[in-house]
Amino acid sequence: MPILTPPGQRWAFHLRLVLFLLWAGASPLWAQEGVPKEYQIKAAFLFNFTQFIQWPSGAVAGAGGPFCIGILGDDPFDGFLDETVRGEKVDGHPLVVRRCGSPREAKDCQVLFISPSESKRMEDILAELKGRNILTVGDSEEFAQKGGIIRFVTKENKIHFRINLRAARQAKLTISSQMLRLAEIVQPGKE
Amino acid sequence: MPWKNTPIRRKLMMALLLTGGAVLLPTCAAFITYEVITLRKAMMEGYQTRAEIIAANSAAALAFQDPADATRILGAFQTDPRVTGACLYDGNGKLFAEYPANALPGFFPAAPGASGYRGGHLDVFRPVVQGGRTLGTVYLQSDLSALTDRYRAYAWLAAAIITVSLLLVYLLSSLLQKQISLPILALAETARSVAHRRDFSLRAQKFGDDELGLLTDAFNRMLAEILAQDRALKASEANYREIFEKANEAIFVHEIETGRVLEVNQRAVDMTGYSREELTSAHPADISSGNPGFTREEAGLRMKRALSEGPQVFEWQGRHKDGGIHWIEVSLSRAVIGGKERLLAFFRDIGDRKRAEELARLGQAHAIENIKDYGILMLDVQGGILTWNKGAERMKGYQAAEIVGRNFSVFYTPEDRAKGRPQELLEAARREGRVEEEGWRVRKDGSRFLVDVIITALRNEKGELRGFIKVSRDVTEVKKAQKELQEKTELLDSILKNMGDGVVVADEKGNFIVFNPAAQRIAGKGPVAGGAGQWSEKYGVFRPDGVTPCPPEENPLAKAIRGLDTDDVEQFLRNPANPEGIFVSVTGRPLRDGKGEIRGGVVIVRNITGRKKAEAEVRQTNEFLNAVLENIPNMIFVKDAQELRFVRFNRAGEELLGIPRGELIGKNDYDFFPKADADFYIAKDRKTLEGGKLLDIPVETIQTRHQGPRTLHTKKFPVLGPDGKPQYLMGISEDITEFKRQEQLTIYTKALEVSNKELQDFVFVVSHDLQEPLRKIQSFGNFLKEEAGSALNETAADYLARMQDASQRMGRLIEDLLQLTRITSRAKPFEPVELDQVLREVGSDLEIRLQETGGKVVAKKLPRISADPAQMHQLFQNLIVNALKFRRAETAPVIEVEAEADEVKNLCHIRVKDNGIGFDPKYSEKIFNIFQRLNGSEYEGTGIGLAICRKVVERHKGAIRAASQLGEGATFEITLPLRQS
Repeated sequence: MPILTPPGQRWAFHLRLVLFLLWAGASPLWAQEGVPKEYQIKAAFLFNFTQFIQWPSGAVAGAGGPFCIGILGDDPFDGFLDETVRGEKVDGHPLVVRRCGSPREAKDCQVLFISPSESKRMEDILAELKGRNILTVGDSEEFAQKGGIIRFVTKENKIHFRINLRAARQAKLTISSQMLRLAEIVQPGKE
Repeated sequence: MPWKNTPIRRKLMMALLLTGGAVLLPTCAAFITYEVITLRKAMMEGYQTRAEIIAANSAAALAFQDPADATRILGAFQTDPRVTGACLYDGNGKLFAEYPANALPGFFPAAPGASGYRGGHLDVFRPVVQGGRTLGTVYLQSDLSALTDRYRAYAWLAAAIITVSLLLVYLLSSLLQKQISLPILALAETARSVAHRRDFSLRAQKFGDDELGLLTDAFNRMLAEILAQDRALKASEANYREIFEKANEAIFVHEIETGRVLEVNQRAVDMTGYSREELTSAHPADISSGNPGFTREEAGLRMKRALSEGPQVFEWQGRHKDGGIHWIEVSLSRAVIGGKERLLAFFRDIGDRKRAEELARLGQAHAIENIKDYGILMLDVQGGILTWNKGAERMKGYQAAEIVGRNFSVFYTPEDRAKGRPQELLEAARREGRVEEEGWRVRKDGSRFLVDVIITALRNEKGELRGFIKVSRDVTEVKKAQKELQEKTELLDSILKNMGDGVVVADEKGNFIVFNPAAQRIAGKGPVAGGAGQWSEKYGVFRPDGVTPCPPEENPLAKAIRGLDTDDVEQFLRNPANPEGIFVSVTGRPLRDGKGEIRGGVVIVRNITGRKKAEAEVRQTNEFLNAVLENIPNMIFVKDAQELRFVRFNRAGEELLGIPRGELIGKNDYDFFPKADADFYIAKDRKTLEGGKLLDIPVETIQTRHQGPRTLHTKKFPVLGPDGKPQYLMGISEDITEFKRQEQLTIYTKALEVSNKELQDFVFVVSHDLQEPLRKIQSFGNFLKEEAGSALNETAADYLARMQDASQRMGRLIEDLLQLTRITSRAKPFEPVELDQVLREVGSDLEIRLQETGGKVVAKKLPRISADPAQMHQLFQNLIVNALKFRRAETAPVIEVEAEADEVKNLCHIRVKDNGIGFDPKYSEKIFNIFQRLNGSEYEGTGIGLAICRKVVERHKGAIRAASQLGEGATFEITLPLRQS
């Protein structure tokens, strides 16, 4: 660079540098590492939901009974979920992960992640789970609209979630206002 | 002041204040310390609570990694300006959200730490726990302004409490301490007064029956006793002192051992003229006359004798302090006074007796004693006063009793005394027998007065000097009155002499009393005899018209004598001293005495010629300027600077605008001109006034009433008033319409000349270059005719002939055009040309044509002129050829050429007249134009011949004109200068 660079040029150089850094910094890490990172976060979120949602008394098995997070369909978490909940407890209930092949198997779960692999029979699954105190979570299209409670949404490379409040109420789940503040509330049929 | 000497009141006050302070200070200190500790703790707890609230609120944001929400939560700190920053760390201790958004990098701790006061701020960390898991940490930082504000408030409070308390202590103690200090102070004050004034009648005030009361009583009793003793002593002493002081004899108490005077009484002071202090330190020698027999030694001897032999009584001559000698009877005796032996001396005045004896000796009567207007006194040989009369008493203020016996030198001023003036006078009187003097004297009260004195020596029958008689008269008032009158007169004279206005005063009969120099200068002479009726005539007084003599009854001085006032009346004076005459302004007043009777009159005459002349000059200057203004051919206008209304306008302006000034004055531009124009003028006016200098408007257009739009060159400039601000705007406009038109014409002319020149060049070049191909056409045409002429059939031969004919015509045309252009391009310098010879040459050149036509040229004598010979040849040739060409069919052409020379006008008129077909007069101008042919193809020719003629003549600065009637022949008149300049 010449010693007497006009200020404008120098500015332009700095500006370009800054813009580059901003662009580089804006790309989330998991976008480069691939899918596992996304589900690593979703796993953490699943766990966090248990911290901000109140299940009705009796929804969990008696003292010492497990607090169960179920995965219906293919497991996209690649073991992250198991790792996340290992040794954790909810109100004294040890957290366990259960992989379920059918809605019937998932009836004792408190949280149920419905894998995208089940999206074709999503409505049947949700209909079958209706009335139970199960927090249904999914990330397929129109999940919340179809009666699921929480749907993961990826926006601008970040994971957000939508909550179908009516479904939550039907499942008698009390969602913390803090969590609601972060969520997008959807009306069924209007996702 | 050391503490032990401090007044008791202040001691008490200080004790109370110190006690109060000692109690208050630790109390306040303890209070503040406690408050500070509590406050810091409360603040820490307060912020921890807030951090906790934030922590609880931001759990979800942390859990679900939503920094925006966290930032929104932290934004709540906006309401607390004391929170300088806050942030959230995530579970890994990394910054998650911050407040404020624009915090500097490094502002927040790199990782969570422990809460506490650090530097100038408070750091609070609070973990964010959700379900037993730590999700992150809240950090907030607050400045300590809350604390410092409170500290300051406490400091003020403590200061206020201490101040108010100490003030209360001060007020209370100043009331209470009086109980103790007041009696003590009163006692002390009394004691001080007693000690200072030796007044034992004073008593201390008692305030109560306590110990201080007892002390006061005891003190007062003591004073009472002292007072009683003191009074008894004083009464006894006063008795004796009274006797001592009132004794009619002077009493001296001497110390036996030294003879020093210890004490004297008032009479001693009066008798000797010395003060008590002087007497107690005096020696007997000083109060003895020192004359033989009355010396100091003698006095000492007498005193010794009194001590050894008992009381002595003898007559003695004493010397008064002023030097006067007086007689006393002295009685000396021993006495015991106050337990000590003293020598007492009593002096009795025996001056009267001695003087009586002396008077008897002198044998003088006492009749003079009662004379009042003159001071008459007898002096002894030394100047001692022996007698005193009423006049002297009135004049000098002394009573006989107090002055007789003293020396007369007491009347003289100290300066005269120092010079020995009194003795000098006595000596002169002794020598001359009589001496007279005027001089200043001093009264008893010290004031001075002027006297006229005669001293006469008195001798007995044997001629021995026995004394003097002195007669004096007070002349102070007389002298003073004389001097004042003289000063006033001098002042008045000086004023009259030096004043510029003439002052003339006459009495009621018309006699001049005052006629000051200025009046003489104006009137040309001083007072003249003759009554008021002749004044106008004698002094040349006229009415202001300068010719009508002023009637006597109008003369201001005469009017004043008649009792009439005149105020600033203008008159004209012409007399030998002022032959040109002067204008005067006269004011006259009658003079009246105390009773109001007229005693005369006074006039003040002022020469106002200078002023009149100046006025006239101003008027002349104004008229001159007006004349200049009115006669300047440019429009001049003046507008007032405020509203820009016309205040002045000149004739040129009236004529230009076509608006009489009566219509213009007081109006502005909008009243006469279209708004756009008026706007322009007014804008320029304002600009000029603001700029403060001349504004040149090279071109502006103005609508006039009778001449339509005119172009002006205007200059505007401000005219400043006395305050230095623009008062008027003045403008000068020159009508440059014609000038502009001329300028435009000049430009056109120039352009035309250039274009003409170019055209000529073009024609020349074209003609010249056309000749060459034309010649080829002609040549080859000829060749064709020669080679194949016989072979051509009739039609072809006709074609060839036509072609040759056309090419010949074209050749002539080109030749003519070339000639036309050569008139200017090939011009030769002028030289003397014999026109006769030129005409002869032309005649011989055209001989064949003349023979062919049977024509002839009849020429009269032609002059010699300065011209281009070749062009003159061309001129005549063209004219004659023209005449031959347009001849009448059956008539032989006759061409007459004649000329007249006008030496005076330097002109030569040549006329060429033919008898040809002539032309319609309406073509008399047109025929000179190029290519103008009146007769079409009937006559051969190019239509250039006459154009060449005109051009030649014009080149010679002449003129050519043609006159004719159809069928009557044509006359060409040529005017040429005889000599070219």
